[in-house]
Amino acid sequence: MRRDTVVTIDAHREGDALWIRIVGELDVSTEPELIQAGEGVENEGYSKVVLDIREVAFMDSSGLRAALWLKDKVEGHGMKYSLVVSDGPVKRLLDVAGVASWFTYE
Amino acid sequence: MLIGEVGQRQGWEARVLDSSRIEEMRRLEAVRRYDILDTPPDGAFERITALASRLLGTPISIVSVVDEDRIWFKSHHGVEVEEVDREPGLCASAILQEGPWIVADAKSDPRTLANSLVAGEFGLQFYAGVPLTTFDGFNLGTLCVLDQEPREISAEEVETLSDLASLVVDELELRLAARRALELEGALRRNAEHTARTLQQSLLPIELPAVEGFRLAARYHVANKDEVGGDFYDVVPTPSGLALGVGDACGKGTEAAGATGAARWTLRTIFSQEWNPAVALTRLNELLARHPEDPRRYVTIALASLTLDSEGAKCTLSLGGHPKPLVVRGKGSTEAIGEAGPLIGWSQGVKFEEVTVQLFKGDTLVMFTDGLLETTCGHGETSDARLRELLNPLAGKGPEAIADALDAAVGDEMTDDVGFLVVELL
Repeated sequence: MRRDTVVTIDAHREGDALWIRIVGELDVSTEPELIQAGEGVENEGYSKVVLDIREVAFMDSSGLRAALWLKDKVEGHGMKYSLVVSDGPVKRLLDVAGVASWFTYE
Repeated sequence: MLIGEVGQRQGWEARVLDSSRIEEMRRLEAVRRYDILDTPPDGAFERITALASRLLGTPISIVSVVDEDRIWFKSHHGVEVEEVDREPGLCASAILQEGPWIVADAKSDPRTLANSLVAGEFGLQFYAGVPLTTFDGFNLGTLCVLDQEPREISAEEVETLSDLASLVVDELELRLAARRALELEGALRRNAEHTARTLQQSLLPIELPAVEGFRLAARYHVANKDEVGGDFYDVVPTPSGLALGVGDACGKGTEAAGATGAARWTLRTIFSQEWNPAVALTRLNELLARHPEDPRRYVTIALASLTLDSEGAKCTLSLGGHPKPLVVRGKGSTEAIGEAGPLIGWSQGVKFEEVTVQLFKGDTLVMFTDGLLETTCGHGETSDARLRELLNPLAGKGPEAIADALDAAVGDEMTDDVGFLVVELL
C-alpha cells in the first residue's frame, strides 16, 4: 500500500536568499518536487538557500535524501544552505539519521 | 650412480618444482584479481610512496607488483622507471618470504650483487622492502625504499615501512570490495523488474545460522508485493559469538534494493576481515561514498557484534543513521541501546562510534528497520515508546513468540517495508 501524499512547495526570493518553504509531506512521491525546485538554483545569483520545513508533518528517507542533495548542490556552488525546523518528527528524523550537525539553522 | 636413482631424483625435483609452480600460479591469480597491473598512476599510491621517502629519508620509494616475468611499479617516487625484469635479489626475493627484506649494502651482499640494478649503471646500494600480503596470504609485490648509497635502517623505520605497506594493501582490498559490489549491483539492476524475488533473496540470509548460546528469529515484510523491499538483515557467526546487521536504503523499489545489496555484500566482504562494528561501518561508508550512484543514495545500518561471556554476551553496537535497537531485559523492561551515528554512503571522512552494553542470559535483542516504528508507533514516528510498551510483557517468551507478536502489531496494511531480527541469549 502506498499513500497519496500532498505537498506544496513555495520558492521565493528574500534579499539575496532563496526561501523554499514546504508544507505537507516530503516522501518518495513528493521528493521530485523539491528536486525540481532546486534545479538551476545556482544560476539565479543567490548567496543563500533556506529550506523551511517547519510545516513538514512527515519526512521519510527519500525526503531527507532530497534535502541532502540540495545541500551538496548549493554548497558546491559556494552558496550558504540552512534549514528551518521545528520540534517534531522531522527534527527527530534528523537526529536518528545522525545528520542534525551537518546543517546550519535559521 | 645407477640410472634408476637418477630417474628417482629427477622425479622428486620435478614434484618440488610443481608445488612451487602451483603456488606461484595461485599468487599470479591473486595479482590478477586486484586488476592493478598496467593501470595509470593514482593519487592514493603516489601519496604513500612520497610519504615513505619522506619518513625514511630515502630518495626512491616504489609500490611494486611482481608479475609473471616482470616487476611492474604501481607507484615510483624518485625514479622514472615503470618496470624491470623479474630478477632475484630484490622485490622478487622479498615476496618469497614473510616480513621485511633488507639489503644494507647491495654491492657486497651475495643475495644481490649479481642483480642488474645493483651491478648495472643504476648502482643500487640499499634496499628495504615489505611484502604486500593480501587477506588470504598472497604476496602481490612490495612497498620498498631504495638508495644509491649504502645505509642502515632502524627497527622503527622498518615498522613505519610495514605500516605503510598495510595501507597499500588496505587500499587494494577496498577497491576490490567496491568493484565487486558495483559489479553485483550492475548485474542486479539489469534484471531488476522481473527478478524482484531473486534480488530479495540476495538481501537476506537463506537461513539463520545456528550458533550456540543464542536463539534467533527474523521476519521480513514488503509493503508493496510487486516490488522488492529495500531493507535487509544479516546474521554471521563470528569466532566469539555472532554479528548482526539490519539496514535500509533511502528510497523504494529496485534501485533502493540495489543500493542495499551493494551495502550488504560490501559489508560481508569487510566482515571477512574485521569484526569491529564501528570500523566496519567506517570502511563501508568510505567505499560507498567514494563511488556514489546517480541519483545519490544513502543507507542506514545498525551493526552489532555479540561476544559470549560468563554472564551472557557483550553487545558492541554501532549505528549509521539507523534507529536504536531495543533490549528486552529478562525481568520485563525494554531499553534502547546505542548512540545515533550518521547515515552511510553520503559523505567521506565520517566517523562512527560504538557502545558496548552487557546483555544477560534471558535478555532479548530486537534489531529492526524504521518500518517497524512506522507501522507499530504511527505514521512518521521515530519514537519507540509504543514499541517498547509492546515488548515489555513479551520478556522471556522466546524469539518466535516475540516475532509473531510484532507481526500481529504490524498487520497487513504497511506503508513501509519492515524487517527485524530477534535474538535471545540462552
